[in-house]
Amino acid sequence: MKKGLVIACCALALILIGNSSYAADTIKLGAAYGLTGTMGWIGGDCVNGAKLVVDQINAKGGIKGKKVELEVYDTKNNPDMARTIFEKLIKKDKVVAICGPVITQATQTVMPLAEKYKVPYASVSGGFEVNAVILPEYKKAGKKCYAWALTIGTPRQNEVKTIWLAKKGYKKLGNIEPLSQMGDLSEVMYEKWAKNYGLEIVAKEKIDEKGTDFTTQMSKIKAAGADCIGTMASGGPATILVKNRDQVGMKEVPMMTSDANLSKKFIDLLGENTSNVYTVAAKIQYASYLQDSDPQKKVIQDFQESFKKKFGEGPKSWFFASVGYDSALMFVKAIEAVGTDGEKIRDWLEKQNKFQGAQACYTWSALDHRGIGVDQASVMKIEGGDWVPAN
Amino acid sequence: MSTLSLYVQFIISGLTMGSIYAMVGIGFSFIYRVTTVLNFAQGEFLMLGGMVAVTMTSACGSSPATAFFVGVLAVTMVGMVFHFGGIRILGKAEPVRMILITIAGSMFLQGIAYLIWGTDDYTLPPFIEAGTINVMGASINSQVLPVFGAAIIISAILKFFFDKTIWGKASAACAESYEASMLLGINVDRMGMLSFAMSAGIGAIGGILISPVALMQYQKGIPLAIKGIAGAVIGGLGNVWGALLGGLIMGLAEALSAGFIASYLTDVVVFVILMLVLFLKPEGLLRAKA
Repeated sequence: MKKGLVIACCALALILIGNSSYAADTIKLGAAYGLTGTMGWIGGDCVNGAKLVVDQINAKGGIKGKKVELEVYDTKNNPDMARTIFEKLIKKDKVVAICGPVITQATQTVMPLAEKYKVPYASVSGGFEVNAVILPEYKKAGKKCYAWALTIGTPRQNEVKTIWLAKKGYKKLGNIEPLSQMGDLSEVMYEKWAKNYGLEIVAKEKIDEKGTDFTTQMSKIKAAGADCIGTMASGGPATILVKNRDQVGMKEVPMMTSDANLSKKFIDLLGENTSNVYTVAAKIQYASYLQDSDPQKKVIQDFQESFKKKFGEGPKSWFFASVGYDSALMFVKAIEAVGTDGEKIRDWLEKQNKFQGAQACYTWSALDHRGIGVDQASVMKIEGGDWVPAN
Repeated sequence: MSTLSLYVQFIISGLTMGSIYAMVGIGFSFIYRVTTVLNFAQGEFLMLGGMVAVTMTSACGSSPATAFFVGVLAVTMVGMVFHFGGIRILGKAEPVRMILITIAGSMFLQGIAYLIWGTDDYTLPPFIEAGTINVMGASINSQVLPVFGAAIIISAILKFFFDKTIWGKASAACAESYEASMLLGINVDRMGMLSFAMSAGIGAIGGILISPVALMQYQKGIPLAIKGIAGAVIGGLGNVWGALLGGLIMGLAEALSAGFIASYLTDVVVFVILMLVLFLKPEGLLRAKA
């Protein structure tokens, strides 16, 4: 009995020591991505990208001798679950910063939490209105924002698309958006950029993403005389839109779509309807087309090699893998520079000019928490079964 | 595009969507006619049919015809198991319990579909050569014709089944009176299973035919079921032509409201119509055959 008690106490002590010494010697980062559920195919690549950073930094001895650990959780792309996981990461795992989440609603839901505990996070969401709405508000109120989003974002990608359309001489844009927050933001952005770059919006339509046929809306766009179409629809609904566009006789009308379509899978879904379908991508997506003089090219190639070496194969999407990678990288670099204080990390990040990531070269500021400039992206078209830069 | 062509395009779009909804509604009405069960998992039969066919063509490389056959067969069996496991085991239960069981069944089937196929959209290669047909300046997607045709043909076959065949008359009798049918030597449970099997098969046919056009995804059954079932109710529950008519009305309401008013109001318009019919003629537009 006594012997058993002693053994039990020793075991308990070891466990406690084990856990606490872990905490003292390591720096923890969180990864909260949707690995299952809606759009669940995105999270896996992001997590692997982040894991690659952690491996690379630990191979060099960690940050000031301390190993970096990544705590990974599946948010299932559910905003409430994302918040629960953020609470867990912050309070229980005591992470310094968090990579993720993926979707717009989750990104918004966790923001108050991140601010309260001063834990910066880097999301994937393109529709999260950090640059368009939140940062200007916060600047006026003197508040600090702890949310980053490492994708081009709806506002900027629509700008890139509009610039391209204007350059090519298109004048009349037909806008057709899903009935969602992202769709609404996209519509507002197209209005803004159309005015800036001299296009006229001749039609504004909406679609229910669960719908099966959008020829009604497409024929209205045709009747309005549009010579180009803009939409943030992606995946299945976008495929149906393209097929419907072709069906009503607008095959020659360029259709600019969401960057979520940057995958071979989408091209497969389109089948034969791949002409005049466009989207926008950051440099990671067209690295092989970059000039050798572009320093980003080598960065991307190194990243891709290291990734394939670690995981044995490429990701489903280099885009999302690079976003995960850059999310972890930015925090690791910040911790190296200013330590583990969340507020200092975020202040340091805002000062970064030309931060070299795998996806792009970021320039952040108090009014820009995305950091991907118009020059870091290109309009893409479909050729030979893959996305290539369109010029 | 002339205004007439535009309006014709709206109508074509409405009939396209309507035939898809009708494929759900027909199966739904059929099961109700025979068993008085409201099968809210009908949409999942469509979804599973499409998904199985997709796997056959992409993973097993089979021809469209084989994929079609296997898809229908597989889902028919799912329907039979569904009836046996979910409905028959409980014997005569109150309607509310049956509804809950079918709703639970629907979620169960979605869950299985998610485990097997994930959240992606899938497509099938076209059954008919892809192309468009011009009608008065508007265009019909040729791949929509099989859906429309199937809806009409299946409705006609089922009408013949109920009116002219002994099996059909026997199954209609089951709903009217369980005890009387048993006394007359009709195996009510077997009729129930037959109806589920046939409805599942019909659903599968619908799902396979619409996959080239509207793609298929594990949750695609739900919106189709909502409108298809609403259509069946509007047309008169238990009346197969009614389900066809109701489905087409739903599709037309959706297309015309998107065309003339605005896309974001379609759901409102569609359900206003449902409410109107339920208030003014609750038994549906075409009365269920006695």
